[in-house]
Amino acid sequence: MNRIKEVGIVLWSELKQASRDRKILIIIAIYVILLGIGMKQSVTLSQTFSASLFRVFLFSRTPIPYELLLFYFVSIAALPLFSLMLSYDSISGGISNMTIRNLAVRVKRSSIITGKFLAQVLTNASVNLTLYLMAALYMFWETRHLMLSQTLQLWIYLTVFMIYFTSLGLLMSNITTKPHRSLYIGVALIIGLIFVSSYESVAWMSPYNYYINGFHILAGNTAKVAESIISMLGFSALFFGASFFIFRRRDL
Amino acid sequence: MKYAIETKNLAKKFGFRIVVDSVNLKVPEGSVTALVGENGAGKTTTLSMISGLVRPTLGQMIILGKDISETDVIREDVGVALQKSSFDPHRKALDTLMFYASLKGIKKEDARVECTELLKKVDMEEHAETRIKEMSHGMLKMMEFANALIGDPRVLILDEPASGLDPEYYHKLKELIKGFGKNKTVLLASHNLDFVSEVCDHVAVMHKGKIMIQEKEKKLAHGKALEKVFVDLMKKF
Repeated sequence: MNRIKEVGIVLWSELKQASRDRKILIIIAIYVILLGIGMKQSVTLSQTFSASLFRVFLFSRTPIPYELLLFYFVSIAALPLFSLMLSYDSISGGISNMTIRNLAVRVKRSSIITGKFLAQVLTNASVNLTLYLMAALYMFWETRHLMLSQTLQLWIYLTVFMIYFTSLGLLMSNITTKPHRSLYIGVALIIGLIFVSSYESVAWMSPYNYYINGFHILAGNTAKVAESIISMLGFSALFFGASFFIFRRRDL
Repeated sequence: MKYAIETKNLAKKFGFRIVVDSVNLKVPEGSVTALVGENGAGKTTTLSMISGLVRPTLGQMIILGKDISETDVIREDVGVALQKSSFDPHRKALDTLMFYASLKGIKKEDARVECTELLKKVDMEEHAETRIKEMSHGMLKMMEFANALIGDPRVLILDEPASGLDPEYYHKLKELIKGFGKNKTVLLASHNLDFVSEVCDHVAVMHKGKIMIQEKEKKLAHGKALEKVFVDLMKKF
């Protein structure tokens, strides 16, 4: 069987499993509720504080849809933990309950890890796309301004940010065989990365150094956005590569 | 003699502990070979390395002429039944087998026919819609066995296939393995020496990670009960 077909089968199986997994469904529900509240608050806050927000983004030459920007900041604050919660036990969970063993005797390990990673990215991206489209509709309802194109641009940037944390979660699920340890280390790293972003000399290592650049999409500063996307995708590739390296050598 | 499975100086260390030590195993094509030995002798680790679940520290493994020493090399034409069931507990029996059939590249409709047939073969056709989590230990063992048979592989690796089976499934398993004749090569690990003497034609005795003896079952047992022979051997080692 060719590699793409193998990855496809693992990916499809992971998506089906996720749709039945109570834990994943609860995590998604909590995230959706949180962002739903955030959506409502973003519109309220932007209407209340639009004048002061205007002063913050005064240097922008294009008008900023503040409600969308605020929603972006709300979603990006919740996203790291959400991504980690979806990915922290992808490998360690399979090792601890041994379900990965029957897979590993039939499919190349590279296909298993790629399929699992793609399933998490797809699940996460679809949940966020649904939320962003709902946000666009809600904001249109409230403000009579349709911001579909800006919404989609922000979603793409958010997806890159999510890929960083999903690949980090995948790496955490590879370095230990106990899912709860993967989660603890992952949470500690998320907190650590926030601190790292506040030190100028090492800030480039943290995704929090780039997340603010999301509003440059709305302001039309593509160079800044491209630089951030390349950095975050570079780190994601590094984490995925390390996961792949560990998983190939691991005893199951 | 042609060998379906061959290991050369196969070794595994966990930390400082040598679990498998320079194992040179030769499994003749069409034979049913048993790895026997006391607990911790290294049987499961040896089978896990051959199955691709555990990475050897040293050595080479060849199955049907193909070097499979790396974990990321697919063991084509090989079916594996693990000691402990490792199926998704929420899936139903038929769906489980069909999923693993899809991983072998078998089309959905063909997989349905083959997996239904396999469930019938292991006396589990009435459990096709039973979820894995609702199954008894014996049923899970038979599911593992049926899973190993998907795609009609030429080589079977079975880790403790008979442990914990009730008499009915035990009898069924023996009949199925005997029925393979020379069409399949089977390498199994077992504690059950009655089972081994009934179904196996070759025996390899493992002790402290090494293969001490590898003989035809008849030659090793020499008309005596295999259990008695094994106990005597252990005293010598």
